[in-house]
Amino acid sequence: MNFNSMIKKNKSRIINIWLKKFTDTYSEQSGKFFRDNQGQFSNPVGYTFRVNMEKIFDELFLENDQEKMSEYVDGITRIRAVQGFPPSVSVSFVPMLRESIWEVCGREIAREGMHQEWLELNVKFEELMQLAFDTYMSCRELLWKQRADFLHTRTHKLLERAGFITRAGK
Amino acid sequence: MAISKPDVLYRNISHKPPETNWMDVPLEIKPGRYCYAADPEPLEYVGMPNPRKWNPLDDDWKLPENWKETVISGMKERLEKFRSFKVFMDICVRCGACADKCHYFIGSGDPKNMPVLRAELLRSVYRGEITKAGQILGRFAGGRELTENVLKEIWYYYYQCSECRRCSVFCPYGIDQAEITIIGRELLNLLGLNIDWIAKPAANCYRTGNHLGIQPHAFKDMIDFFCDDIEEITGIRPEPTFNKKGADYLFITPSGDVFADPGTYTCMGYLILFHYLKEEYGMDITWSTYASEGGNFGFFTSHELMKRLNAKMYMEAKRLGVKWILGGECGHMWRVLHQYMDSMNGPPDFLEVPVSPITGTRFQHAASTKMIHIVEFVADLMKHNKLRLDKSRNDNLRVTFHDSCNPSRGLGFLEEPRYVINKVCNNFFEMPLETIREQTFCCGGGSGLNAGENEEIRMMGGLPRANAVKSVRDRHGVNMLANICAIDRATLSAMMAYWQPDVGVTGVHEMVGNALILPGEQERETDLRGEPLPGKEEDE
Repeated sequence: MNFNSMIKKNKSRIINIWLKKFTDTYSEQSGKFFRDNQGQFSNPVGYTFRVNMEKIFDELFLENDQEKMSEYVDGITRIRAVQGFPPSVSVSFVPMLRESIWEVCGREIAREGMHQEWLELNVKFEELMQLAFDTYMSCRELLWKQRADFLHTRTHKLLERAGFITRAGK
Repeated sequence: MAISKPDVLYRNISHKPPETNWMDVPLEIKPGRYCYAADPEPLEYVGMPNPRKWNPLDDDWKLPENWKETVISGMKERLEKFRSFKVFMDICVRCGACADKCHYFIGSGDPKNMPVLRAELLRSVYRGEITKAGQILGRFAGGRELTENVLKEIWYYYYQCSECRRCSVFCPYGIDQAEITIIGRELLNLLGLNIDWIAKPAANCYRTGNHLGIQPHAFKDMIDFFCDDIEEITGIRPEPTFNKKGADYLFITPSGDVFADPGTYTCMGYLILFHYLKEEYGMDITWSTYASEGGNFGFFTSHELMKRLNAKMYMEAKRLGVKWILGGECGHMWRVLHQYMDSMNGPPDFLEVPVSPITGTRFQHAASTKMIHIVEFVADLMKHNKLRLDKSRNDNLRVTFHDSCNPSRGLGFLEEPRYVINKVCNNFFEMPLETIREQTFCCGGGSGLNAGENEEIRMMGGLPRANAVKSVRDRHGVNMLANICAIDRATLSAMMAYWQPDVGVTGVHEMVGNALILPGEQERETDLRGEPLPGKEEDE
């Protein structure tokens, strides 16, 4: 069995371990809620995590399309970026994927001597980490931009209404 | 000391929070989740206790010396006064039905945002300090002592509850967390523990007549700006009246509609509608620059302040001698009106039971309060074919509707807005049933929590709504989120910009204003936002 097939065969186990690790960053009850409630609308956080984790996993072993990958990473990171975690914990789902795969398949990888393939996969994890970092930063910057725009617009409007500034042509 | 090797350090990193009983989890006031403390001036203005400068991040909250006695005696007084509060303190069986229903919990995963646990913060004090069982058995009976840390925890989480009442829909006993939060905040206010985003609007409203403190001339100026824009778009200039004694009807809307986009377009919709009604049916509606606020931030402070602010609307109606009051698209204005007004300030016998002068419909449900919602009034007009509409002007919109918490759960107002939307636009799509109507998710900014500094908790709380919007955007190409609440319009705009940037936010009457055909109007090229109408894009 080749490297990719061996990992893909264990997909559901890996995803479950991955989701468990990631949701363990919340308190016990909340992590359980995010994992166990399958509702798309009653549990948007858990649902979005699971769906996007599955897509990330699949994409890693398909074409690793950066556009699609960005969308999936965004799904998870956009939520984490507003939940008050330190940045490193917000994007910790990436190293957790590596850990989860190793926990499930590490012994076989070592036994079969698939070190080269494992190294190549690790390069993809690093790219994924960079993507997650960029997404996290864009989310945080958007939040601050919204705040800055709000203050800027309000101040400008007030000055304009008070007659302190006049636009050219008026 | 030797530094551990990287792999050892890495293995020792745990992202898992420690498991602790909820009473032992230390309070951490996190930026992005709390609002700034109320300044002393607004508290002084309305006569609230303990006005002073303080900061929630400081150890010393500058509480009065007898703070504990004040809270406990205040609680005892309210247990006597409000039977609902007494029942809600006693009957919870911790079944957990509410636990995963709060948008803040669903979005944040903070267990103390579970309604059951949020209530328990106060309930444990009730047991520990007031009930015999709790005083004897203490923690074993779920009781705890009221300490400064406990008080701070109550403050932190009771200003993370938007009083939306979604949890109460699922509680088998009907325990209403909003009522518990209302009393909790009232107790906090006995110590001067309000937030600035509530205290200032409440004082402004008490003094000037609206939350923003817009003075009469500025209020009129703003409406005049809107009339300029309407004239440019339609060729017709509405001529609203202000403070007109002897007018037939008084119109009161949230001041957000006058000063904040996209509510301003909703306000333009009102102006177009009132002009139409005046021209076609001679309906004489006046605006007040004194009772210029539909919202009631007293509601988020204390029953007493809510009563005082609500009374201003009725005093103005009496002064002007109108028949009844028409209210704009607002959220909690309607909860105050529907659930509290009549026993606080009613019945206003100087007003008449609202009857539409155009259709003859008698709004019996408002027989006592004498005030009706513009959406039910307009739905009635539409039902009787009294408005000429061109709904194709909204064909560029693919609309879904967010039920605002207060009109839906507080007023049972479910069909009327949908009826109006379907009359003015061709593309309407419902979000999943478990996210609308009685089960609607809060926008995340209700009950005075729409401050700049707590945006992150709002983003978390808004996620369940945004997630439902995403589903109709993906399935039906929805690009507009309609609602009938000024707080929604403010909160959802920022929220959509983060979660679903290609979906805009509108009030229902903005779409009414676009569709309504004014007598003698010119051919419109743009909608009320100045964007080209469908089919007019090439003419730009």
